Order: sequence, then structure tokens, then C-alpha cells
Amino acid sequence: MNAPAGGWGFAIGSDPALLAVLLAAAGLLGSTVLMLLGTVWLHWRHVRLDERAAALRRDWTPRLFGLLTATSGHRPPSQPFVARRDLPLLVGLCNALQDTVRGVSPDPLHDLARQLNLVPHLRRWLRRGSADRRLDALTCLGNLRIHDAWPDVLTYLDHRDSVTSLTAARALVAIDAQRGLPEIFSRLNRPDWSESRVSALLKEVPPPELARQLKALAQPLDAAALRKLIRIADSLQPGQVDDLLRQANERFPEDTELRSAVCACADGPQWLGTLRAAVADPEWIVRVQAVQSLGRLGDARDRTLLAARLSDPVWWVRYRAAQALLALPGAERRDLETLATAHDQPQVREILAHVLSEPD
Amino acid sequence: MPWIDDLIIWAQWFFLCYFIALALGYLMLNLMALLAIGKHTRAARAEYLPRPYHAFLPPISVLVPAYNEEANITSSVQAMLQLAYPEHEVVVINDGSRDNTLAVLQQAFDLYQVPETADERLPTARVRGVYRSRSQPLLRVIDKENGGKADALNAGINYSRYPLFCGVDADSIIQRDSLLRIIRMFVDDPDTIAAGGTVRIANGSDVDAGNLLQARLPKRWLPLMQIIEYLRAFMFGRLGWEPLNALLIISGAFGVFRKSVVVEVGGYRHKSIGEDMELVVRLHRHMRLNRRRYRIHFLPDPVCWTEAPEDLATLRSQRIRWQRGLLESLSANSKLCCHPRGGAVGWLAFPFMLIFEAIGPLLELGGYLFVITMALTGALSPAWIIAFLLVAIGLGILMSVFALLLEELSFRIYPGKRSILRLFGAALAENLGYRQLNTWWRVRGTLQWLRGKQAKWGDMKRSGRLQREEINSKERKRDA
Repeated sequence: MNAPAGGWGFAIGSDPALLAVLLAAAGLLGSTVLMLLGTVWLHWRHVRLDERAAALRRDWTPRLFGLLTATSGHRPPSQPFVARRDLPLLVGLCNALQDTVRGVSPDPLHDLARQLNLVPHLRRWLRRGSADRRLDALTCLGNLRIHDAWPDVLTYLDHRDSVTSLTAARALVAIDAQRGLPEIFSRLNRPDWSESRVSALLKEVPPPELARQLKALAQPLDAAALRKLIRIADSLQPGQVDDLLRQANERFPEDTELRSAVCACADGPQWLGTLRAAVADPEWIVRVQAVQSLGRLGDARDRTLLAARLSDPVWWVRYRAAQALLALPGAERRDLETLATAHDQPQVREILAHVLSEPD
Repeated sequence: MPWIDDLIIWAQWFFLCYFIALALGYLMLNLMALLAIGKHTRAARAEYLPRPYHAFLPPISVLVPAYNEEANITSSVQAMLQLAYPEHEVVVINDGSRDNTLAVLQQAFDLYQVPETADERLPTARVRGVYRSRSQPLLRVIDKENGGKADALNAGINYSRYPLFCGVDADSIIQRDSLLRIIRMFVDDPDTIAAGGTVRIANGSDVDAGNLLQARLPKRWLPLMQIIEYLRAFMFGRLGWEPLNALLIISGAFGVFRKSVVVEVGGYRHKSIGEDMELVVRLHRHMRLNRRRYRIHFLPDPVCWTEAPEDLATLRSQRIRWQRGLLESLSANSKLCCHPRGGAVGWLAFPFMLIFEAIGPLLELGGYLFVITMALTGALSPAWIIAFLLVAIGLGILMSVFALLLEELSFRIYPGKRSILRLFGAALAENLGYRQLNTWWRVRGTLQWLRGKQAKWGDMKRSGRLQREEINSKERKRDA
């Protein structure tokens, strides 16, 4: 490997190791040039695509808005020709606009879809398109409420990609909420269906339909699905989750997270007994929710119970107990101020002073 | 002397093998980064879904440690208060500043002292007082005795109210929607314990009152070459490790953490100069060795903008500090390296960091010295020297151009063909002098760490232009 001293030693053929290193250098140089060319080509392609998208937006946004906000029975005028390669851009634009005026009748869109012969394209994308095309198709079929597409869309509900499955769920609910909701509830224990995403889907369902389906929920859920559904339902339909809470209390009394969720979502005097018992729960995460809800739902009789929590070993329980004491009906700031100065435990005095200094 | 010939041959083979291993390592990282870009593109498809319901977005405490930041702190805090997020608080920790940082804050935000207590689970230097603002309900200021950045962050964790916290630098700009972007990981993956975003260089960009309006390339070469370095570091250095859940660094300038887990591992390590990396490595060690499910994510699209040093002295002290931080973080968590339960992080990322990043500068310098000595003594032919240099420099350029390609594939922050060509020029020039200078500074950092010299932050000379109103647009007018 070490070449003899003297001379430039460029007799490459005589030293295979040197030849290999020089070939590697040439390879690196070639790859660099290729990558640079690739970068410039990508840049050019992106610029072209952006220009096409901008032109399409310019032409179609006013037209689509006109259609989407048109009164019922209005028939759209004939639309200009759209090149096949621009159809995905148009469908994407249509979906985005539909999101901004959610809830309007899909009739004008139906007419447009018919004029552009869109539905066969959407079905084809669903079967053979790329992941992006498939998502466009699912969303658009949902927006158009194409009932015939139900079986096709349903097959994607169990897709392993969470975005695809959630998009299918959204489309199903848009096509027919009554049939779609049970399908969603039965898959709630999918770990990749986060509460946030599912609640965002369910928010698009008419509230009376959601309330009806929650009440009619037939199959018993497992603990994970129940936890999820309690939080989702409480955020969308506050005060209407009693049945779920009762189910949690009766079937999973050992589940800390469910006990905590029950305390957090409890609403109404019927839960006071549960909350009063939970104030002394061995798990702090349950105690903290219990004292917080007791401050919201309790009365003057709970003062002693909450005051005892001011010396809880966990700071958060002390803090929420102090806030709850202040929130109880008939609570006087003066009483707490007295307690804050007179109590023999410094941590109680400190937490009361802290809470009393907070803005109302 | 035959033993010298043997030594030379052994040294040549050693450097060649090291170089091949380095090239293979980078190749693997590049492929992983391509995969990660694909994964990121798939994750971005979540845009097809309705926005996450706000009731389920966990609230975030933004922690801003401040030490002698009187020049920037007001606009910086104002920018943090304007972040687009449904529920967040801003906790500024004045770490015993010797200037008027606290007084400036008091005046700007109408602060008043409150008898506030905290869930003090992390030990810190004494807290002198807690302040609330009459004008900004989201803001609280913790005034404490000086204890360093790690100590300030720990105090911020103690006083924070929310389950997630985001550590930021007072002199950086967080893009307004960055919290909404980074939270995606915590919302969609309940195992997430930490997530970091990209840090980019703002020199040359249009900035207005702590908000970045338009990204542009700087005119000066030093920050331009740092842009290439940052692109490389973030586009494949971090993206590449992400799919393996082996990310070892989340920049202290912008990262979100689950508070309960950070408290569980004891918070930031006091007196650590690389406290951001050390915490992430320790989180890995804790979770791996205790067989806990977890994910540490890197997301390329939530962006934090920072000002890069524009003079060599500041750059030198920064690079020495980074090298020392790296060595501290690895040595403090050496148990993770090749541990039976270490997984990809213990068996791949940690050894990679150790061999190619921590010891790398010493070996690179050794390689240069070896080649020069061999050339001077005539033991190596000029053809070999040229071949070695071509390969070494070629690999460096290739990595930089690959980062440019990834950038074009994903975000295209810098507009126009001119930007691509300027960045390519910087990628070429960076290998001819700048890289070697960096190697030398990192060797100095290694030596300082070996000598156990007291870690110091040093003076970070910044223009403060990121926080000053309209300065860049004025500068452009003046240039015109």
C-alpha cells in the first residue's frame, strides 16, 4: 500500500489499492454531481407544480365557492375542461374548501362530480392510487356522501396506517352517521386512534345523533376503550356520560385511570358519594381529580374533607384542595385568610397563601 | 528500520478502515434519513384529518432560562406569549443575572411578587421570588440565585403547571406554529416522552420583533457554512436516528419533554455544559435499562431559528463547549453503551457518537498529521496523498449535498435556484479550511475535558438582531 518514495507514483495499474481509492473518489464525485443535478431537477419540478396549483386555484376557487354556497336546486353552469393530471389538485382544493363550509348540501358538488366524471376516478384511486390519492378519494367520497361507496370505504377502516383508517372513518360518518358510529365505537381500542383524532371526527357528527348512539351503545367496552370514550364523550357532550361512568365504576373499580376519569368527569349530585370516598384514594392522581370535582359539585359539608387534604403529601392535591375550598358555595376568602395565618403546618399556610394570591 | 515500515502499514490500514467505517455509518444514516423523510411525509398526511380537537391538546409550559439577557428578553418573551397554541404558559427563569434582566421584565410586563409555592421535586439554587404579570396572565417570572442553565431549567420544571414543558433559549425565535406541530407526536403516540424540532440559522433572514418573516441566506461565508453544517446535522444526523428511536440529542434551543419522566430521572444535570444532550441520553438509559416503552421523536418541520456566530472567536468557544458537552454526556451515561438492553441506541447510536463524533476529531487530526509526516518523509507518494484527500473531501461534500437534496425533498425553506447554488458553493468551500478549523477546536475541547477544566459558558457574542424590530428590513434598504 505504501508507494515507494520519489516520483508521483501515478502508475495506478501497478497498485490495485491506489486504484481502488481513486475509483472511490471518482464514485464520490459522480454521486455528488448526480445529487446536485437531482436537487436542481427537484427544485424545478416543485416550482412547476406550484405554478400549476396556483393557476388551478385561481380558476376554480371562486367557482367552487359559488357552488358550495349555492342555494338548493341551483344547477352549476358547465365547467371548463380539467386535464386528467390536474384532477388530484382539483379534488384536493375541493376537499379543502368543503372543510371550510362543512355542513352544506352536497348537491351542487354532486352535479360537478357528474360533469367531471369524478366518481369513477375516485374509485380507481381508492383501488390503485398512491397513498395520497387514496386519502383524497376517501375524503371526497365522504364529502359527496356517495352511499354506493360504503363497502369500498369500509375496507379501509381497518387499514394499518392510522391516517388512512381515520380518514375512512370520517368518510363513513359523513356518508351515514347512523351506520358509521357503531363501526367507530367497535374499533376504539386501536392504540393508534388517539382521543384527540377520534373526538375531532365525532365533532362533525350531529350532536343528537351522537348522544343517541352513546346511549344505545350495546357492546361492553374493554377498559382502554372505555377510558378513551369517557374522555371523548365528556369533551363533546359534557354532562351526558353518566352511563359510561357507571359502567366504569361497576366493571373496573381497580383501574386507577378509570377511577381518575370518573372523578374528573363526574357531574351532578349523584356522584358526590363517589367523590367523597375518592378523596382518600391511595392514588394521588385519583385524589387530585376528586378534590377538584368536589370543589365544583360539593357544598359546605365538604369543607372538613377538603381541609384535611391541605396536608396531603402531594403538592398537587394540596393545591387543588385549597382551590376547591375557595370554590365551595358559601366559602369566604376571610375564613381562608384566617386559616392561612393560623394553621400550625407551614405547608398548609403556604399553599393557602399561594391560592389566595391567584387572580380570580 | 523495518518496525517503522510496519507501523506505517498498520497506521495506513487503521485510517483506511476507520474511513470505510465512517463512510458506511454515514451511508446508513442517509438511508435511514430517507426513510424518515418518507415517514414524515406520511405523518404529514394527517393534514387530511380534521385538526386535533383542542380539548385534547396537552397544555405546555414554555421555560425560558435567562442570564444577562436584558437586551433581548422583552421581545423574546413577547414572541413566546404569541405562540399559536390553545393553552400554554411562559415561565421565565432569571438565573441570578448580573444585569437588569429582572428590572426590564418588571417594567415591560408590570410584574408583581406573589407568595407562590411549587412542587419542588428537583433540587435547585434558592428561589428569591416569584412574579406574575398584571398585563400578561400567561407569564410568570422565577427569580433565583445563579446556578447555571440546567439549574434554571430545573427550577422552571418545579414551578411549571403543565404536564409537558418546552425548553427554549431566550435568544432564539420559535416559529409561531411550532408548538402545534411538535405536539402532534404527543397526541398521536402516547409513548412519546420527548420530541425535538429543527434548529435553523436566521442570519440574513427578515425578522420583525421576534418573528421570522422570510428565510434568506446570509451574505457572509461563516454563517453560510454553518447553515450547511446545521442542515447536515438535522436533515440526516437527527432524522437518520429517529426511525430507530436512537436520537441522542434534542437541541436545548427547542425541545418538548414529558415532565413526569424528566422529574423521574432527576431533571437536568447540574453543572453540565451539554445539559440538553445529557438529559436525552439519560432518558434513553433510564427507559432502556428499566425495559419501559418510550419514544423520543425528532420532527423536521417545527422550526426554531437561532443566530449563528459571525466571528471566529465566538464560534471557537461554541464548538469547544459542544465537544465538551458531548464527551460529558457520553461519559456520564457510559453504562448505556453496548448494554444488553441498550437496543439500537446502546448498540448503534452511542458507539457511533463515541467513535465518530467524540473521538473522531482526534483521529481526523491524527490522520492529517500522519499524511503530512508521510509526505514530508517521502514514505507516501503524492498520488496516494491526492487520492486520500479526494476521498476525504469528496465524502464531506457528498454528505452536504445529500443534506441539500433532503431539504429540497422536504421543506424548501430557502427560495430560488440561486440559494441552491450558493449552498452548494458553501458545501464545497466548507471542506477546505473550515472543517479542519472545526476539527482543531473540537480537539481542544476534548483536551480541556480530559484535563477536567471547569466548564464555562463563555461569552456568546450575538448581535441581538433576532429580537430587534425591523432591523433586517432597514439593513436591506440601506444595502439597496
